[in-house]
Amino acid sequence: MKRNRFTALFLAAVMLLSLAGAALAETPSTWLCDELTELHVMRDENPSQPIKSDTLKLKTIEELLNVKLVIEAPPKASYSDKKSVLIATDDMPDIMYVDFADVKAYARDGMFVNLSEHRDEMPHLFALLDANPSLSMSTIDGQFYSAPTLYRSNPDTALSGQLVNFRMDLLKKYGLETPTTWDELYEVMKAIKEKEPDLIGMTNRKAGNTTATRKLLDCVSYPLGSYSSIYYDKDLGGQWIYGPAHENFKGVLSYLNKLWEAGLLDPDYASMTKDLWAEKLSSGQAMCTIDNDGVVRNYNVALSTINPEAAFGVIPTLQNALGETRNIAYSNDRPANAWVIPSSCENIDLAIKFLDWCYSEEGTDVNNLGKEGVSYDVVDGKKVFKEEVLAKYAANGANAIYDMSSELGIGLLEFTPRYDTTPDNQMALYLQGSDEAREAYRAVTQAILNDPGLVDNNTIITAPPLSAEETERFNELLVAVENIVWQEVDKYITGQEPIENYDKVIEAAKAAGAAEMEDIYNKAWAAALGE
Amino acid sequence: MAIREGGAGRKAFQVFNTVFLFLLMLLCLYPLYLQLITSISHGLEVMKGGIILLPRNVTFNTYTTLVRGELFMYMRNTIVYTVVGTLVNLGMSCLCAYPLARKTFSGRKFFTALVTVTLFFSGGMIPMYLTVKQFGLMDTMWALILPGAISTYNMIIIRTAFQSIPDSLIESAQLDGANDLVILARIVVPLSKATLATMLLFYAVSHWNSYFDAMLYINKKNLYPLQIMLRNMLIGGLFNEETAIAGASADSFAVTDATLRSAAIVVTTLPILVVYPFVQRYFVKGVMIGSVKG
Repeated sequence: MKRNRFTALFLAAVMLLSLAGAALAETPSTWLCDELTELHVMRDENPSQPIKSDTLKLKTIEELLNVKLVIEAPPKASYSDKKSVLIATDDMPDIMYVDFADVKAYARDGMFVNLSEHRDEMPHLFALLDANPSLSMSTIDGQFYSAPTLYRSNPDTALSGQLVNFRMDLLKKYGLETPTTWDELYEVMKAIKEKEPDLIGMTNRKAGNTTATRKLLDCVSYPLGSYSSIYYDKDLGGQWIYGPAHENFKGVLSYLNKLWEAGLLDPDYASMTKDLWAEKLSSGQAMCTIDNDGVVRNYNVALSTINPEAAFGVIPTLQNALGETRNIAYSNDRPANAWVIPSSCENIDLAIKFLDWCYSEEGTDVNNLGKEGVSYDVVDGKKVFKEEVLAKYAANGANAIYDMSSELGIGLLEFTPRYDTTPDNQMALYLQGSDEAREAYRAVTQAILNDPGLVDNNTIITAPPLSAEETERFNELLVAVENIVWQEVDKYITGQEPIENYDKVIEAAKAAGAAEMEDIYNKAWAAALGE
Repeated sequence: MAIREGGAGRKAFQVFNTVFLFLLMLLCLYPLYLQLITSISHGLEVMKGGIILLPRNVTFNTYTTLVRGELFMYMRNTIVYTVVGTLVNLGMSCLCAYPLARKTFSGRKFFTALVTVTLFFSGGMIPMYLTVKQFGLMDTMWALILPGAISTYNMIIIRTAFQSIPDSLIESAQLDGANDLVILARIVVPLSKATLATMLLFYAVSHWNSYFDAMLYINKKNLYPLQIMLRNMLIGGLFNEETAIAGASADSFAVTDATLRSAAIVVTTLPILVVYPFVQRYFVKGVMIGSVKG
């Protein structure tokens, strides 16, 4: 009996103590759940940045939120197949990375959680969505079923686009002024060609599934006053226009024809590939290309092994014959890449809270910079990567940023619904070596950032939200119209047909439905803005 | 001897023939050779173009990059899948082919028809996925091996080979007290070595090259076969435009998409090319047996 009483007392004491302990070890306020919970997310893995399972970011998330994030990362090349099968079998992870096209295709069937219904639980996300009206283009029947990949601007923000990349050393060598209009560009190239007849004036490449001709026009037609597909033209009274079925497109074709006649357009322009383009740029065979300036700058390295002076630089946006100074910059927001929570998710509440956290300042910091004091410090209010972290990966040259991001689990190619480019920009600056080179680099990025001619591509080519029937009708017309236009274009560039005859193509394109396409877009656009 | 004693015309033909076949051989080998020299040239030289006969500025960085990407782990997985998969394939195919080859098997025609149907119709990708999932095979190597354990086409070739073995041989074995398994293992299989060697090659190559099943059924990276990784490098590209950064040094261009692509082709093609000559002597004979007596 005595022993029993003692045991009872002991047990009571233990109980009291553990209760007290439990009260003391209160759940940290940042936790999203009391028990450590796994959340499965899926996105594609880019071969340059392997996605790892033991990164600083994942550990920080676990500490802060009590959420164990498991990232499933099928290779980029197989992602769309994998995604289709998972959607078709309704066997999706808790949060999945999709194209907005998938949202359009499946949201109406109830495959994904309607985030707008959870507006109150997602204050961070909706604050950002409400602040930017152009993101209403990411809705389906007025509702957000997906969270777009958004950008957080930061002190090192840089801009990129299909800009005019020119061999600045050639201008210097022949004492030529930097052109400010497209006509001056033509004159400059002609002058250089007289001195160096073997040089190609303007070259281009093929990209993705389009032809090389199409890619060339994707790059040059907007700055020249039109566009190669349907787009929103703010200079023509603010309306959606199918570029090739309009008068202004003739100006684009005749400019290219002028280059062709003067021997300035690459004779292989219609059959170029990316490899061939890289070869021409990096071996110094071309003066100019209108394309992604970040990619073109990479070829400067090869170029400098032939001629230390030679380098491509960006010419500020040129004025076209219509008096417009405009070009497309890549948007930093990426509404085409979105994150969805499947309706079949077993822990919708947690997934919603977690996804929203990713759009908060804290979440954005963790997803892009890692952990304060470990990977970065805050110096004078600015978030700066620790020098030893940058130095550790800088030795890998072009791979530095990928290696760093892979190891820390950060950046755009990771699970990062809201990204900023701090790691990329600080690494790029660090790689410049000297302060002098850093200043020069900064000057280049600042010049592009401050170029008044650059327009965010989201405001030009991101389609307004269409209904299912409108989408179907539009795609049907698009195929018909493109079949007419794109088999004719080369004839006008190479001068087989005089430019006056292009009116016939315009007529045929309009007859095949170009006008109706514009109508569909303009109505949907007005409806989206009206809401 | 007769050839040597022939006239000038014959000799000319011989010379022409040799030269012609030699050129033909070069034509076949050159693409492979080009991949090899591209893979060991410096990325910047490849970017500039013009590598035709000899590698320039030789570097093996491309291969070290491949290795850094856990090449060996993927390679090991592929070898395991290929070896285990091929053994399962051959075992199951023989077990299926044997009864169908025996005239004494009742219901033979019915079962043959049943099996043949799968040549023309399949459940499709989604039902297959659901089946594999319900059997709990996801994220195991069996997901890559069991669903395709028997290729009907290959099994029918094996059956045809088995049919060509004289019944009297099997009857005498039965008289000696052998059961069907013993007959299969001791008599039928050893007599069909040529066909089985061919099937071994067919099955092994298909395992070696396959990536789609792994892409569907495997989520764990440490179970991925080599082809998944290489396909990603080829199609996905190593450097992507989204985050292209400037300020890199020439050394960092030792490895580019182009050199990596070539190295990947060398790494995937070479092992199979090496195996081929050893199996080739069976190869011609094996396929002939299957086809003629079909």
